[in-house]
Amino acid sequence: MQENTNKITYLTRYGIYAVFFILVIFFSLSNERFFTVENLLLILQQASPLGIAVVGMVFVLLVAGIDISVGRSMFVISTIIGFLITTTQTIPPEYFNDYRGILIVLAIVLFLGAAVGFLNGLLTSKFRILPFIVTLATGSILRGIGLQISDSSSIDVAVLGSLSNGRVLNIPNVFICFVIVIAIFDYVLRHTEYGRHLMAIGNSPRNAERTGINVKRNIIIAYMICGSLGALGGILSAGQIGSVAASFAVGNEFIVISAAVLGGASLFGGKGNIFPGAIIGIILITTIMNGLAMINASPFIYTIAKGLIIFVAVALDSINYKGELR
Amino acid sequence: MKETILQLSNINKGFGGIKVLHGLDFDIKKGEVIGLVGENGAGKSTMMNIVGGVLQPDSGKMELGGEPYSPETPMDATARGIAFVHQELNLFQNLSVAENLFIDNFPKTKWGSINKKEVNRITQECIDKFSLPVKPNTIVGSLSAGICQMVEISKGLMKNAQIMIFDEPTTSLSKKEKVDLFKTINELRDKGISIVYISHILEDVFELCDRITILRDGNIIDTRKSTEVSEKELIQLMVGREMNQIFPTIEKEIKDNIVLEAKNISWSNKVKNVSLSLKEGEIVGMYGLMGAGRTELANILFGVEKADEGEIFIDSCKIEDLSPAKCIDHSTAYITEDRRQEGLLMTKSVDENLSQVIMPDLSGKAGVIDENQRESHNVKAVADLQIKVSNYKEQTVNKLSGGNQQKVVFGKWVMKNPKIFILDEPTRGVDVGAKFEIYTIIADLAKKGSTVLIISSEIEELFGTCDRILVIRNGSISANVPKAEFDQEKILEHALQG
Repeated sequence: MQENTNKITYLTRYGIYAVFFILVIFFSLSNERFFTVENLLLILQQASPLGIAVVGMVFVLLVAGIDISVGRSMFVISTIIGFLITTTQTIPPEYFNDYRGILIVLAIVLFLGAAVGFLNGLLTSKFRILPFIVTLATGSILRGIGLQISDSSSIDVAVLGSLSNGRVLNIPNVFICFVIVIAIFDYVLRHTEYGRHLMAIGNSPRNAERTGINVKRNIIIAYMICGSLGALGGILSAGQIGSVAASFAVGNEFIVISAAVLGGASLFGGKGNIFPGAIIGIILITTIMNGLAMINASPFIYTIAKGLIIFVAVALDSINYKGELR
Repeated sequence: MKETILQLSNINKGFGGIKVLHGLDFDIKKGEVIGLVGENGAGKSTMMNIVGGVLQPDSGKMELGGEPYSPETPMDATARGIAFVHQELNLFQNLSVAENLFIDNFPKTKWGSINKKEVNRITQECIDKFSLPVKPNTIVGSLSAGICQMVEISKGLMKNAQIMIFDEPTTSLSKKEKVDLFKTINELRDKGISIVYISHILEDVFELCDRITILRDGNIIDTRKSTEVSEKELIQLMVGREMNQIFPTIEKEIKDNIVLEAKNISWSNKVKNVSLSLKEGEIVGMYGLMGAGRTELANILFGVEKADEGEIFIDSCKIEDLSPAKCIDHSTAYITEDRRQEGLLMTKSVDENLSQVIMPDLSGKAGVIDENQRESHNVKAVADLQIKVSNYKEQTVNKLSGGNQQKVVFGKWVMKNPKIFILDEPTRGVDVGAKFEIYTIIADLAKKGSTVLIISSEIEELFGTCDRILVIRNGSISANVPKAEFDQEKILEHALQG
């Protein structure tokens, strides 16, 4: 029995890599600029903001939860930041000449992200409402708030460009942020009691409860981590674009979730890792998106591609899950 | 004379109006191994769950080391030095052996993270002690049942308890693992630790235990020194109840044709080469201890599980790819042992539940249900079975008493007039009054010519209803006892191992 399940897991895992490999070859052959150092660095730069959000999503997926409010949370929090910088100038522009501005922005972003996460976690664990429904609802509300603040127009956040688009020794700043986040949270997952308790909860909430683990509290913390990291990824992404339009971050949650699942996390809980899972998933997706751009794919191909990726990720997860159940 | 370390006084416990423990007085002495024996449902696990803080007694008190002891959670019990190794494993499949051992008590480094070195070191000690073929970082999900049970046992041993409770710890163990476990238990006893050992394997109980306590029907019958009681006496004490239950007279005819036959059925490691045949009109009982394979066999006979080997014949025609749907078509009914999970739609009304099996027969063209027919069927069922419910259309099943719930389950099947009934613990969780009514229902079925297979842990119940009793032990049929030879002790003897 064990060998069968392992075969299925290996097949699906290496199947993804094989397809990826073929696509990379295809893109490289179609456009000589694809397989260059410059483009690879660009891919890292494009992937990092959402990659940070993926790290947070893994924590939530581990307890069989889900957060589909991530995109809209990115939108409203980035809108608020833009509002404070550009519209009301509560954060004076001078602050961005040194590190003060960035620090304040980060503090606000992480705090708001954690607050949203706390709300999601509370509603889903204490009130036992399905995470899908909870985060669908909060997502909607957040988007509404965001549109209200921005009055549906674009808000300028160009000052963040130096952070989001800057490089150190030609390595994108955001990639350095991504690496730091991965290092910290991989450690939390593997080496702290919290991380191990979360895995236990993902495997069997009932057994975890019997062992004395505070299941509800741990789940709320997972959602707070997801919320903070999601918001962080969001503001970095906003900085890259330079402004927050009404369409900012729409659909991001599905890329984030797909990336997490492709990297090994399971929607059913109990399975998942930060390193190398979070990196693999987001790099995979971003490379495909980048490649499509390189071959000048028409706009709807992107949507189809995104849909296929989500489908493949979830289908493989289900196949693997059944394998393990037996 | 060893001193008493744990004292239970007048412990009573009931579930949903049914009393399961009747004023128990029980004591454990320091540095002794005390065995707990009794039939299924005697109250062994319930009593120990109270000691272990999983359940709270309705009345009575406990004293641990002279101090009052009333744990509200398992953690309270652990804090007071009581470790419970349960029958069902409490392991996390996605974590390693080391992580499972320390899941509720990780040693930390000064920065607050897990001290992996220490964790691995102590885990390796446990592994070496039992010579387990694992490493500290082996994932539990990849281990066999036997090794998992050893890991669970190690978890308990690590707690440095003053009292350890083992509930059927050897069910999945190999001979060698059992020997290692016994060695460890003896070492613990020498160190002055007390051990409660619950098991059906009397041979093991005699080998390990200083004293043996016998429970029967929620009462402590006696406690004897293991050197002063024989296995035969033990069995006598386990079953020696006065049989004073009243059963309805069953008038029926047993015909010669065989309605259900199973040949050489084997499944997983739970059912081993079982063959049986039921004649039309027979009421056959099946007795066995928990884990013997009775429910597994019933599941196979009804097509819920597919046998690895063997054949099943209904009315002499062999059925391939048996499934519940096919069984229902062949006039068979199955009442499972867990009505709440498997037999009823708990949040639905009596009305909806009663219609479950007969639904396809009520649907006319295009699958639309004939409501008039449905209503008349349901009204008749409620009346015939005397289901006590004020408004059967609105009353949800979860509010009914156990006995009435069980009648609803019967009602849903009876409407289809099946020729073969498989019943698994039909009166579990049912009060005495409703029990008699259910026996009457069974008698009526037999009178109408149905064949019934009753699986039960209550010998008295089987004596009162059956023509013969099959005894299952460890996956095979160990005896086929005709009515003339019904004897409580003999039957329990057939059911016990060794």
